[in-house]
Amino acid sequence: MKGTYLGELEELILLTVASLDTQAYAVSVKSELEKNARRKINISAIHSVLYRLEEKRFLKSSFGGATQKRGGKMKRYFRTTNAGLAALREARSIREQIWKTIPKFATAIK
Amino acid sequence: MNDQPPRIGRWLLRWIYDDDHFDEVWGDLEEIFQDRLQSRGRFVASVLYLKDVILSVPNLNLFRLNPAMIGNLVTIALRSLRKRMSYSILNIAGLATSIAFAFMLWLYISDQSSYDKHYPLADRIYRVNLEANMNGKVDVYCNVPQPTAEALKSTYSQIEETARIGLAKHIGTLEYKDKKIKSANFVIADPSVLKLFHRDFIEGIAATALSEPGFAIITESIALGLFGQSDVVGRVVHFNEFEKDLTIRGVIADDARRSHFPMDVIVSWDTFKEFNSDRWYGYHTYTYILLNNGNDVATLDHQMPAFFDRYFRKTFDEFNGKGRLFFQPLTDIYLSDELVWEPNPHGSRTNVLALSLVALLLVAFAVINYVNLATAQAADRAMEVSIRKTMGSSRQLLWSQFLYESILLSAGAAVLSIGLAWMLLPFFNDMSGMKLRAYDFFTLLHINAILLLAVGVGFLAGIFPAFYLSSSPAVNSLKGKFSVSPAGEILRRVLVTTQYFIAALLISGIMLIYNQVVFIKNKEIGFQRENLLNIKVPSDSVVNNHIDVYMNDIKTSPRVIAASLGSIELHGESNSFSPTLQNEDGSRFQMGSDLLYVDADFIPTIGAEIVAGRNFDKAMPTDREGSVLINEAAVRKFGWQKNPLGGKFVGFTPREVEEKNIVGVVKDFHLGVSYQLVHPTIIFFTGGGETNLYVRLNNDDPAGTLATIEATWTKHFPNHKIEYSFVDQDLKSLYTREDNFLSLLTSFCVAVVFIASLGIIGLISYTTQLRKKEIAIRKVLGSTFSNTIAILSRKFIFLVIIANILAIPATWYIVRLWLTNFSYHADWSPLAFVAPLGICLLFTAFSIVWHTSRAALANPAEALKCE
Repeated sequence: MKGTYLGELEELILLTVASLDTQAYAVSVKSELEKNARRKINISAIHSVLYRLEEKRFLKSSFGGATQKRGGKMKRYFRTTNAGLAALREARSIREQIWKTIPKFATAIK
Repeated sequence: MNDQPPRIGRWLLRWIYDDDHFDEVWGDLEEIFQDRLQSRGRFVASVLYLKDVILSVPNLNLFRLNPAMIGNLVTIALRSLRKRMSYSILNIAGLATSIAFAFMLWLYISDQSSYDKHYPLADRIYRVNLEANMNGKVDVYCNVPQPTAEALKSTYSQIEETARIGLAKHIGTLEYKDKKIKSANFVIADPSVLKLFHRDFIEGIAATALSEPGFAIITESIALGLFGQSDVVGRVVHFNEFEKDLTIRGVIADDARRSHFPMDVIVSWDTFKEFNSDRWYGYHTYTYILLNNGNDVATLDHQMPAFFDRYFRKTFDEFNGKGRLFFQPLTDIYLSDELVWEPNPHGSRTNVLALSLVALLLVAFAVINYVNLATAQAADRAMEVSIRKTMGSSRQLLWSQFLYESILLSAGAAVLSIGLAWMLLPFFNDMSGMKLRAYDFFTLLHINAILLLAVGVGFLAGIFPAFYLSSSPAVNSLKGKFSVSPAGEILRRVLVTTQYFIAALLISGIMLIYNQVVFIKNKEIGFQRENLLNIKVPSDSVVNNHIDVYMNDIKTSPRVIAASLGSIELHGESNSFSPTLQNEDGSRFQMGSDLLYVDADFIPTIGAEIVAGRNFDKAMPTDREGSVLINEAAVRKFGWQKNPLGGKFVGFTPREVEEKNIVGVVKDFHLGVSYQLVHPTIIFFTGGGETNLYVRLNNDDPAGTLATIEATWTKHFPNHKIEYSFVDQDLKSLYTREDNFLSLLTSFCVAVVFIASLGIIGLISYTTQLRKKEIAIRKVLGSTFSNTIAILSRKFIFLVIIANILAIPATWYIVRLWLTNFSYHADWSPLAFVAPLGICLLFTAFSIVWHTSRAALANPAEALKCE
């Protein structure tokens, strides 16, 4: 069903938002991702994913935290919704199930 | 200090994001900008900031519309296209033509620039060229003396490998049992050629395929033609032209990809030991080097003067010559100027650039047309926009409406353009000399490219109208006050002027290029090319010894006017050397020159002229050994204008003295293309071993004459098939490149002009319609038909004249650039500058009259009553 499926980048960003708790907005998500996933993602892509996740109701947002550095503009802080957490859990459990089906020797070889 | 991000970024963001999201995104980007400003400086930060902004374009709101809304937009777009049917048709026709033509041009351009790029090591391969200045005769050779390769490789460690390639025969014959197959591109080459120019082996292995004398590699198609199978390693074939047996050691896959040096049969270098030479000037061979991973050609270039001194200097000093070795990247060769002895004709970078420009113009024209027509319709749409706004439509939604409209239109045009391209394909192949087939042409990739191009064009064309139409203040047009804004009017005038300008430029450009091509084709070339037959004399001792008997035999035919033997291809190049010459006062000098060997009948047979002295005389026994002719170019170069016959030829090299008298001066005649300067040439009396037999025929019954000549040949030389061609045909084929260019350019310019006229017709018909009431009122008040026309056309005529005047210097500049390819130029014809003005005026006047007459002849009451 459309809406419950999570793309790879969506999943990463949703996870990052969850881990950043109250401090998640586009720029912090970007630097966190660069640190943890060791990959460069353009800010525009992050915006697009964040808004999409909000449309899917996996995220909710609120404004706050204008600073001088931002030219006085507010930040849009994101929090995961229950649906978002459920989607993350489901994605994880699907992966774990599949991992279990891989025969032992294949994982041993690496 | 300015620590703000570039302002244009904010403007773009404003356009991309809706009010809900704009602020925070702007803030985010600014935050990142400030971080980068600290760590990487203002310039980098600004560039990256703009990159972020541009990458945000896909977040444009309209791409995230809800599907129901998209359906609605499509319906509205279709409705509005249908409502303005005639403009939609003009637009679609223009777009489809431009997309189809631009796409075909793109295919041609990418074909022309694909040469040699498919070789895996191509970026590290260079050809070694030699610029030789022998006593003032400068030639840039694309081949170098044979020992160069070995010396380069052993001297410089950064040269990983070298390969020598010799062109054995453009068309050669291989024979196996009773089967004969003629194939193009026979080369002899070092085994390393397979390392540089990778080929896929179907049979055999590359490592040993060329390692010994007599080994050869053939393509799969040749193998199939000769043996009916490709598993033929070890079989022996006969190479007819050189009387050699070759052992097939490898079969390679046919490769249709483009190369400046295609190879179909590769014979091992050592097979032709008799051609080997260790001289450092003359006996050149094509030499390629492969650099190691560092690929540092600049350093190598700097070392070349020392290398030249070490190996070439001694030999060059004998000729009082100077020289310079340089490297040319493999992938640059095909589109660069041709050097002396190029194995195959080149393309032309100027032509490719010119055609790319035309392709761009095509797309630009389609966009301009769309913008023109869309903004002209602004008044019409203003009411609709106002009502939408009043009902609460956001600006983004309006934008997306107009963008959808233009993208839909161009998508329709794309579908049409695929059909159009398919129909035009045969003509395109004809003109470009390419061999595209429909099923190569319509690959998924190409169709995607067309669609992408169309959507891109639609997007580009839609942006401005979308912006322009959605910005009209709602209240004004609801009050019925909307009028065409001056900004839109100025823009339209500029665009129309641009279209006229480009049309004028193309028309006069084509006329001038056409003049030049006709000029070089018909230029006086110093001999009569018609009815002149060139029979190739095979290099075979039996034929060589009896060719004069054959010649005398055919001379008895009443249709043969004259015949002559010589070692010269009238459509080719001659060899050059650096002889010692003697002035009238006995002083000696060396000077580079071309040389030809012909018999006493050659000059009259080809119809060249003696301007001083006399021709060779068969009756004079001393002529064969002791006389030479020179051409006018040589007289000028040697400085013998006062008394050309007073000079003397002393010897081929400073060491060999072999004095000959100058007995005559031949009027300059061209070898090969007529647009290059005639080289100074010394003509010797041939002493056998000629390669060509020239026969002058009279005009009646050429087929019968040819049959006789062939039958006589078979009688004399039953083992050799006669090979002949007509000189005028051979010469004509030298201009294929210019011909192709001209016909491609012409057809594409016709397309450009066609599209431009569609746009102009649309605009004229639209403005006429807008002024319908004005025309009616004028008519009521007593204006005559011609008066009305004059008032309506004034604006357009003015634009036409401005555009044409501007086009003159532009044309002059561009055509002059193109003409640098030629040594002789046609005169500038003033007609080429007047004609476009005439054509534009006539066309404009015609469409104005056409559209206006309906309005002007109509009953004024019809136009006025509807309010």
